[in-house]
Amino acid sequence: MTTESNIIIDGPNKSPKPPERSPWQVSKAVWYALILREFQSLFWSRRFGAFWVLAEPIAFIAFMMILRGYIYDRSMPGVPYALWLLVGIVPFLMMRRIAINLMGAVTSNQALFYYRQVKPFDTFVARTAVQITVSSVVYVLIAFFMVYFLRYAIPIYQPIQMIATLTVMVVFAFSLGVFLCLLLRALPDIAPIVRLMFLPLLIISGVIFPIRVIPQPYYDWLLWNPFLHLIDMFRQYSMQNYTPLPGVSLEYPAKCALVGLFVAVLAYRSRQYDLVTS
Amino acid sequence: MIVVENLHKRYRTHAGMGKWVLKGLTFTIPANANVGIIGGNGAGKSTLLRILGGVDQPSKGRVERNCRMSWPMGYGGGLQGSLTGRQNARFVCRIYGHEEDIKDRVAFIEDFAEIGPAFDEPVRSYSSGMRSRLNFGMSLAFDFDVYISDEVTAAGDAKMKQKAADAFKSLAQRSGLLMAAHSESTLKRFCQSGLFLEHGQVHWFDDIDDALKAYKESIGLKK
Repeated sequence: MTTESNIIIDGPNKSPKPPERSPWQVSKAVWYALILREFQSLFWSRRFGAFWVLAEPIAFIAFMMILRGYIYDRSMPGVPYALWLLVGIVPFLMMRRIAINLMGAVTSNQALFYYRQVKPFDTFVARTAVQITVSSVVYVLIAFFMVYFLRYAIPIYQPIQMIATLTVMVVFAFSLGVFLCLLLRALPDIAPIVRLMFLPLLIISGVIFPIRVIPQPYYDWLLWNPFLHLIDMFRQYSMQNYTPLPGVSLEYPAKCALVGLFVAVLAYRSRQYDLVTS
Repeated sequence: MIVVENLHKRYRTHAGMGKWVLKGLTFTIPANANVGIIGGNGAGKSTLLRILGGVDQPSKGRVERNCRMSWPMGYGGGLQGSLTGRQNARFVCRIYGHEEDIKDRVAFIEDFAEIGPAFDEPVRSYSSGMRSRLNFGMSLAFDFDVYISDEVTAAGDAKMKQKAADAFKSLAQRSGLLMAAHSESTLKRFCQSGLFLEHGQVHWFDDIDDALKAYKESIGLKK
């Protein structure tokens, strides 16, 4: 030992050897840290961030409800438009937010892949969890307001089917997001196009305008869109006297989600190490 | 102990696969060895350290490490620009599973980094010296068997260099050190042996002086 320095530089609580953590423990710790990190940048990256995270979607939904509800309450008797919109737009926005946020998950967390515990896949998981939380809070807040102040009835008729539908939604959006993230890695220029794609998707999924009025054969074409199925399935569980669209099922989007997840994970497997290097 | 077998690395670029940065390295680093990594700019020092630290994966070959390795500390990576120094420190404590004593460790990092109120400012506003102070402090807050330094002292001021020197000295007693640096005196001071990287190949020298000599000869410098 040299006597050159008397300063002992040592971390706090040096233990002989900490117990080894299992892979699952490491993943849990990483997800927890990443989720907190995502909330931090969500809340602090702009002024009143915490407020806008909730206010932005709420304002958008409220605006749509007021604007369109005025017209549609007359044209769709028996179905309150505000409720019809709410149970369609919140899941849709959740899926859109998951997909779009996953697209940017790797670039926004690039610096954190410096720690070998943190893999791109963990950022996908964390961002999905964050978006599910935000969407749930938005849904609960709006639903609470509508039930207590506007006297709407928002029951849940089939909770298990509802959870199943939500799971399919999350898996589908997750797969789409992972796939888009990898695609954008190869073709960064298409990012704005992908973002724009969600606007027509909003319309052809029957979120704002009812799809029922679309004539054949175009109606059958629209049925290729798994979002349409998911949104309509979700509506059935929260609305009394709601007649499901013909030809809509949970089976089709569930198959899409599974195939999508398979493709996304496969693509991720082959490209995961390229994602890490900036 | 770190065992490297037939390690190859190349990166994918937008024009297809790039050229090989590392071409078939095979070497073993004994436990607790202090090794200097020497090579010109672009020789692959950082790439090698990233692979040893587990940040990058080898394109071919195998790396076996039976020890806890730090991340490559330096002024480059590991800090998220949008988060503050404190948030970054807390993040790292969490991923290393130190949720219970997070306060002590963050306090240690803050104390070591000595960047004052900037600790609560976003990291993107830091100078490279401040970044390396923070990064260095963060890795010292944990027990690693091997610390990896990628020019961590290069951007530091005199005080930081002194602190780093003290830290390296005390670390040398119980841990290994892999260090890439361009400063000859730094390397000589902290490292016993050397790895000299050239044209994607590596040469091991038991004595750091020989490694430095070989490097100088390769670039046509007289001793």
